[in-house]
Amino acid sequence: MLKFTRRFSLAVSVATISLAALPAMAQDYPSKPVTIVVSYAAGGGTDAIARVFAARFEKALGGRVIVENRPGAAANMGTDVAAKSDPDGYTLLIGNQGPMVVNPHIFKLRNDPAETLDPIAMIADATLVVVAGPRLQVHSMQELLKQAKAGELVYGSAGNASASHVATLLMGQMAEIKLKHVPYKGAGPAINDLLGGHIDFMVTTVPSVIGLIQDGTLKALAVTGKDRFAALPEVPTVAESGLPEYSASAWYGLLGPKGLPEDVRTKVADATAKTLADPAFIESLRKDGGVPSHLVGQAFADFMAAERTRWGEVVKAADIKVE
Amino acid sequence: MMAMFEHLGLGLSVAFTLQNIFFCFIGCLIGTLVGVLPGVGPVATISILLPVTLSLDPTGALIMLAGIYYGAQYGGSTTAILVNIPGEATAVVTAIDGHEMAKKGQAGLALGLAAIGSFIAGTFATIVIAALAMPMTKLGLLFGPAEYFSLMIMGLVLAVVLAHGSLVKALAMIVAGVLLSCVGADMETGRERMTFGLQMLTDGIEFVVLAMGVFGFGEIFKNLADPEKRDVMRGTIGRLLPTLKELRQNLGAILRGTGLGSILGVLPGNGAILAPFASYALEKRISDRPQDFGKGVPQAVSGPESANNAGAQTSFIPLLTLGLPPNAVMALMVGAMMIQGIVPGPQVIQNNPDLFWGLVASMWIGNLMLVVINLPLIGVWVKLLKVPYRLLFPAIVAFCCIGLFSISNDAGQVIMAGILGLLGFALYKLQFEAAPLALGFVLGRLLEEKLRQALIISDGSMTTFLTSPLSAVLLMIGLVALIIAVLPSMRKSRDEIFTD
Amino acid sequence: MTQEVIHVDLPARPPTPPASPPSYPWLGRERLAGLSLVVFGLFGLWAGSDLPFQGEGGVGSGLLPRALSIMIILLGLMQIAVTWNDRAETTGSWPIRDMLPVLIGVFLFAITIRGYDFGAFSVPVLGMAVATPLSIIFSGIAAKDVRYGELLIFAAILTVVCIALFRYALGLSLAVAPWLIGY
Repeated sequence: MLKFTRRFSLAVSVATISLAALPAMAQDYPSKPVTIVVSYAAGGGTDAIARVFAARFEKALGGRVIVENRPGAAANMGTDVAAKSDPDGYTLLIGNQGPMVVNPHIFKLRNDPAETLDPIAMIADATLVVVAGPRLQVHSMQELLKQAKAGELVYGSAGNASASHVATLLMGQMAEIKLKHVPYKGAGPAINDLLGGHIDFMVTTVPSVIGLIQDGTLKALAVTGKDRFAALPEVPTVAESGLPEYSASAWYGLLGPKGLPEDVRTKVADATAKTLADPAFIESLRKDGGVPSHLVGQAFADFMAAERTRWGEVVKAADIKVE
Repeated sequence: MMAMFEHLGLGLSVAFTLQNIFFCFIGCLIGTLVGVLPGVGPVATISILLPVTLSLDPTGALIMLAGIYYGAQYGGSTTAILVNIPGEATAVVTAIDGHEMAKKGQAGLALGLAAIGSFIAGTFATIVIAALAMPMTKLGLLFGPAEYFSLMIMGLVLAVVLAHGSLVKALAMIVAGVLLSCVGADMETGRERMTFGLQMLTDGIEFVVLAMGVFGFGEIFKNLADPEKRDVMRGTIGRLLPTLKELRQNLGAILRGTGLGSILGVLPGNGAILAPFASYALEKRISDRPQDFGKGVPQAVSGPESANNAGAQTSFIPLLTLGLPPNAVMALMVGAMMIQGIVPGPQVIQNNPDLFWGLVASMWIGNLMLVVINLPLIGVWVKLLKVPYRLLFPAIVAFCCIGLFSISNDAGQVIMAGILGLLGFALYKLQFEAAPLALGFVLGRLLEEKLRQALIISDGSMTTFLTSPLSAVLLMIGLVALIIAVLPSMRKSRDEIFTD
Repeated sequence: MTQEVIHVDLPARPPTPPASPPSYPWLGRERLAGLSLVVFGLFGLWAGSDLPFQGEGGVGSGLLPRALSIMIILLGLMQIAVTWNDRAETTGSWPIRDMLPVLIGVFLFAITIRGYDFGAFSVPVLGMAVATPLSIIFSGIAAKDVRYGELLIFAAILTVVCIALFRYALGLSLAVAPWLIGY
C-alpha cells in the first residue's frame, strides 16, 4: 500500500513540477488566490474582522483573497500554518495579541511568531470596556477598585488568556487587588451571567455590550484604551480613573511568513495601506468597535515586541502557564 | 394582546415584500442544502456569506441569514433520518427512531412528520417570541453556572431514558460520552488533557467528528459486515406524506415538543440542545408502548423535531432582547447586525421596530417556506435511497470526508472520524447504543464548564447547588426521573430472575 | 422482508435466526461488553494520570476524568455481574478486512486533500480532484457486489459535483487541483 502511495505521489510530484512550478514572479503577483489564515473558527470576532478586511483587501490587491479558518491548539495552529507556508505572498495570517504575544509566554510553541513571521501591518485596534452588572452597586471605576479592595470580586472573561482576561489581570495587578476569575467560552455566556448577577463585572469588547450600555442595563465604568472611545464619549479611560499607567486593547495585524520577496511584500503592504484608508473598511471596522491602525512594518514589529514584554510580565505575575 | 397582533402585522408587512420573501426563500434553500450535507454547518456558511450581505438592506440580509439557520436545522434532520448521520447534536434524537422508520420503509412518513411538526412548532414559537420575548429573557438570566449545572445533570438523567436496552450499558455510555468530552485543552488552565500529544486532539473532539464517525462511518461498517441487512431499505418506500389520522396521532407529541422547545430555547449557552431529548423522554414516558421506542415510533420523531425547531427559534430571544448570542450562529447574526450598523441589544425593538418585527414575522414565513421546499423534496430524498448501496455508501464517505475536512481544514479530523467509525462498529457489535454516548458527550462539555464556574464563584462550596432554589428543583427532578428510570428495570430484572 | 430488519438493533433479546454459540463460551457478548468498559475505564485513568486533582475552586482538570473513569470501571464490573448467569451469546464475526478499503479511502483522502508530510517522504497537495475520487473508489471496492466500470464513472461524476458544490457554490476554501490549475 505504502509503496503504491509513494510511487503515486512521486508521479504526481513530477506532474506538479512540470505543470505549475513555474517561478512565481512578483510582477504577476497575485496570479492565484491569496489565502488569509485565521487562527479561529468561523464566526468569531477575529474571523469577522478578517473577512471584512479580506473583502476590501481583495479590491486593493486586484486578485481573489480567500479566508481560511485554521483553528486549533489555542490559536497556535494558525501561527504554525503561516510560519511553515512558502514565503511567496500567497499565504498570509491575521494575528491578534493572543497567539502573537501572549501565547509565547504560556505555551511551548513550535513556531515563535517573533522569529518565524514577518509583521506587515497592524490593521485594527479595538478598545475594551469595563462593565459592571446589577449585582455590583458601583457607578465608577474608582468605586469598583474600592469595593475590590474591601472584598474579593468575581469577574468573568471570554476565556483563559483571552484579551478580556489579561486586560483584567493587568488591572488587578496595577491596583494591587485580588480578583476571582471565572473563565467562559466566549463573551456571550459571560455577559449573560453578568446580567443575571452571577458575576460582578467583566472587561469585554465594546460591540458585545454596547447595546446593553446604551440601554442602561449594564454600567460602563471605563474603557481600557489610551483614549476615550468615540461611541461612548462620557465613559472615562481606566487611566483617568486612578490607574494612570494602564492601557490595553485588542488588536489585529496582518503577517506573512519570514522571507517574503521584497517586491511581493511591497505589493501586500501597499494594498494593506490602501485598504486601511478605504472609507468602507473604516466604516465596517467602526461598527465592529475598532479603529484602523497605521502601524506599518517595523513600527508594527516594535509594537508587537513591546506588547510581548508587557503581557509576559502580566501572565508571569498571575502564574498562568501550561506545561 | 392587541399590541402583539399589531406588531406581527407590522412584521408581516415588512417581511411580505417580494424582495424579502425572495431572501427568505434563498436562505431556506441554502440552509436546507448545507444542513443536508454532513459537516458543512450553518456557521461556516453564514460566515462565508457575511461580507456578501453588506450590499443587502439590513432586514433582507438578516432574514436570509435566519433562513439559513432554520433551513439547516431542518436539513440536518433529513440526513439523520435517511442515512443516520446527525450533523448536529439536536439531530441525534431524530436519528434514533427516524432512521429506524426509514429502514422500515417509512422514510417519507418520518420526513413528512418532521416537516409538519417543525412548521407547527415554528408557528407557535413565532407567537411566543412576539408575545413573551421579554419575560422569557428573564428566565434565561436566572440560569447561572450552578443552575445550569443542575440542568445538565437533569439532562444526563433524561439521556438514560433514550436507551431502549440495558440500563447499565446506557449509563456506561453516558459516562463514557462525558469522559470523551473531557479530551482536549482544559478551559480553565489551557492544560492539555488526555491528548497524547496529538495535535488533532488539542481542542477536543468536535461533535460533528464524533457523530460522523460513530454514526455515519459506523453505520457503513455495520452494513458492510452484515450485507444481507443493508439493502432492505430500498425494497419498500411507502407513502410520502402522513395521513390525517397519522397527523392526529402525532399532534399531541408535536404540541408537547413545541412547548418544551420554546422554554428550553431561551437558555443561554445553547440550552436548546436539551429540547429534543427532553421531548423524547417525555413521549416515551407517556406512551402506551414505551418498549417500541428506538424501533421507529413516529411520535419519537415528530415530538423531538418540533422541540428542536421551537428551540431553534426561541433561541433568537436573547439575541433580540439583549443582543446576547446563545450559540455560534447567533453570534454571526450579531456580526451581521453590526455590519449593517444596527446595535444588537434591548433598544433594537424601539429603534428598529420594522427590523425586529420583520425578522420575527420572517421566521414564520421561513417555516412556511421550509414546508414548501421540503415536502416536494421528500420524494427526491426517498428516491435517493433507491440508489444501490454499493454506490450510495462511497458517496456518503466522500461527502463526509469533505465535510469533516472543511470543519477546520484539518486532515486529522478526517482520520479521527474513520477511527471513531471502528468504535461505532464495536459498539454495535457489543450492543451498546450510541445515542446516550453522543448526548453524554454534548452535555459533558457544559457540565464540567458550569461545575467549575459555579465552584469558583462559591469558593468551592458544593452547597451552592442546593441553596439556589432553581438548582435544587432541577436536581430533584433529575433524581425523581432517575428513580423512575431505574425502578422498572430493577423490577424487570427481578421478574426475569424469578421466571428463570 | 422489512420485519427481519427491525429486530436487528433490539438489544437484550436473542437475535433470530438463533446465533451460533460463541467460540469462547466464557466470553459472550455481554461479558465482553463489561470487560471492554473496564479496559476503557483503566485506559482513561492512565490517560488522565498526569492531571492535577485540585484546582481553583477545588476542581482540578484531573478530577472529572478520574471520577468518570472509575465510574466506567464500576459500571463495567456491574455489567459483568448482572449478566453473569445469562446464556453467552456470540458477537458474530468481526470482518475488519471488509471494512479496510473504506478506511484506506478515508486515509487517502486525508493525506491527499492538503498533502501530508510523513518525514521520510511527503505527499503534495493534490486537492479535491484527486482526494475525492480516491475516497469513492477505495470505499466502493469494499462492496461485495462492486462493479468497477460503474464505480469509476460514478467517482468521476461525483467528483465534479463535489467540486462544483463545495468549492464554487458554497465557497469553501478547499484546494481543487493546485498541480493543474494553481488552486
